[in-house]
Amino acid sequence: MANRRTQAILAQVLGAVALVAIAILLTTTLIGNLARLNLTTGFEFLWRPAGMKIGESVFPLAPSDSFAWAVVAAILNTIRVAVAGIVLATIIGTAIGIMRLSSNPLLRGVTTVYVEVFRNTPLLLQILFWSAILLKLPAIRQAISLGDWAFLSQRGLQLPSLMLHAGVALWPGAIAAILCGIAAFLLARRRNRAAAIALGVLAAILALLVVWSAQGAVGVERPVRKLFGFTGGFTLTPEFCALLAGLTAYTAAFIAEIVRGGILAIPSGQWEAARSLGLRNGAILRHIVLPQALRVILPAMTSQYVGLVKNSSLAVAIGYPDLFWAISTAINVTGHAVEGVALMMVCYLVLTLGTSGAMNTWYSRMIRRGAR
Amino acid sequence: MRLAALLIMLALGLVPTLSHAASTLDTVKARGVLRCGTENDTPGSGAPDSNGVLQGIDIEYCRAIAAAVFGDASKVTFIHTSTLNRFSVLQSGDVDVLIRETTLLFSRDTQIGLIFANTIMYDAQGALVAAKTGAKSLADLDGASICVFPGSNSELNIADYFQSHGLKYTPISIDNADALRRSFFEGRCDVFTGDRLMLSSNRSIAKTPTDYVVLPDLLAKSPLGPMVRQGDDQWLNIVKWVVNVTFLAEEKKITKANVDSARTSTDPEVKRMLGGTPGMSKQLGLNDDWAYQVIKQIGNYAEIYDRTLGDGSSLKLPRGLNKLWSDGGLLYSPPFL
Repeated sequence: MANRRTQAILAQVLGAVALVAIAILLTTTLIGNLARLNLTTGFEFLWRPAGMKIGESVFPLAPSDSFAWAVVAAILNTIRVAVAGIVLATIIGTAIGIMRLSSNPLLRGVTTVYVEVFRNTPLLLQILFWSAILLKLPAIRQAISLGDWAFLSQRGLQLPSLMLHAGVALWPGAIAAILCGIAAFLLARRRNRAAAIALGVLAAILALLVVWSAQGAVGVERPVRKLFGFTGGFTLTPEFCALLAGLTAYTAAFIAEIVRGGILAIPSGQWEAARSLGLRNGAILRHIVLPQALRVILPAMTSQYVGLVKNSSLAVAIGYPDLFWAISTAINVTGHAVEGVALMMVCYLVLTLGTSGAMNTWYSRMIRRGAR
Repeated sequence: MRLAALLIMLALGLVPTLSHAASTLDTVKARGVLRCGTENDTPGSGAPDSNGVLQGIDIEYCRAIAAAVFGDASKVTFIHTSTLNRFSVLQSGDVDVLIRETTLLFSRDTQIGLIFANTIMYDAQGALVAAKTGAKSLADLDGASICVFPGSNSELNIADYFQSHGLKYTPISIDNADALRRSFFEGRCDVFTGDRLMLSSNRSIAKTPTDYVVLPDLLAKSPLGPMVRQGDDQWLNIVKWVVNVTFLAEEKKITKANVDSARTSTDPEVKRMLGGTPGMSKQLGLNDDWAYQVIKQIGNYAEIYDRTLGDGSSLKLPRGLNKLWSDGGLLYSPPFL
């Protein structure tokens, strides 16, 4: 018995040593080969000025900022499209999954065609398709205008944006008002009426105070058409929209199937029992079937979400400045291919592991609550 | 135990030899074909003609190197590269030489393990716009969307220009010539910026070329030339001198047609160049007649330019700076001595 254990430990140790040896050999070979090619190794290139301009970024970025900042802006772009994609794909996918089970043959037929078309064609093709469609929108001079408040053209969708001219003092008030409002809502649900009313009144007073003190400070900024573009307002670029449409439509098709499967996994006895209690179909779905189906659906959803995050790198085909695009450009300009690819892998790993970690936490919490 | 042994053996097998790699010339000769990094989607630089054969100034120079090495201009494989992958393709040894309208820059010559041979075209970065915008200069284009290749020096220059002039713009950058051109022709971008060779090329394939104009602005100098890996001086010399003999042949008025009779020329430099002094190119690792083969099969610079960029092409670009030094241009070959 002891002998076998020693053997097992020995094998483990030898295995670990072998792995470390392989890692060291590969690294020294890599560094040696790179040195032979007169290439330096290291990440100091990230602190050099990038020189390039990024088409769209969440925060203002100048060409003189470093590659590191460009990468941060690009990661935020990836997160932006991934979060929007996950939310939209979940909503659309769930709706379509439920409609596929409808007794209405037209609804069932249309949603089946949707799922089969979007699930069975390559995502890259779909993204290029959306991009080509958006390029066919009217030119900027013929932009479709909604009462000069919003514009739709090849340059994307221009929307008015909320501008806060006053100082930060407004924000705490607004946040406090919102928090009180949420708390009041939650208390009302728990049937704690007196406290709910008190908090609700407080929220309303705070909100009024904020609005009153913000008179003239809060404004809505309209997009203004110039010769070659728009100034002011908020822009959804065609690249972002095409990528988002592609990711959403594609992932929603898979989510629809997962939702449909999850609902079908609930024994029909649950429906019958609920019906005998006099519940309507919608109520049964919301209160009885979906909560149970969620246990089946969630783990499969996780891989769809992770897939969506990774698929967002197809942005490079249509010029949306995402993580993949920014690091590829940095590699080309600086020649640090190995470090760039490593950095890219780490960034995507953080994003995907973060997504699946969050989903797993949610799932295990739900299971625990259910077991109680 | 067995697993560990297996892993160690696997590791040893994975490690490539660290010994000095063979010279590029030996590798090319042993392979029997030159691998040239080019582009196949930009008329003038490289694009298929109506017979599906690649044509363009960069393509011609690949063929010229093959003619020098093998005595046969057809022994080339053209590897299509994009602006984003061109350097890694050369660094990794996938191609022997990169000839792809790449601009000679300090950073590219020194920081990425590569080195430029000599310039085959003195170009400049410009801007192509739709004629109907009425823009006379880049300065009229405040707020414009600009199509530019990612990772190109044009991307950096246009950022500098707009910043220094206090103007705003939105870059659209896609690493695929067809996709980026489509964005421009469909109107997503107001401006396409890059080397004028490429801009003229884009214009030539527009549905109606006269709808587009190249603005007079010159954003930056753009000397275009072949690149090789650092550390192989013999190979660098081969590429450099293949280019030089095309200049020298024009200077000496030697053409594809008269190169045979020129071998008996009374000009001692011409005779040396065309292989009259046996053993002169031994250190270069080439046959004595390598320059003769280049001119016989490809021609001199004037012939190459005319076919690919000049009047014999669809671009009809004037030679501008790309004239011989004796005609007021910048082309100047050191003596063949």
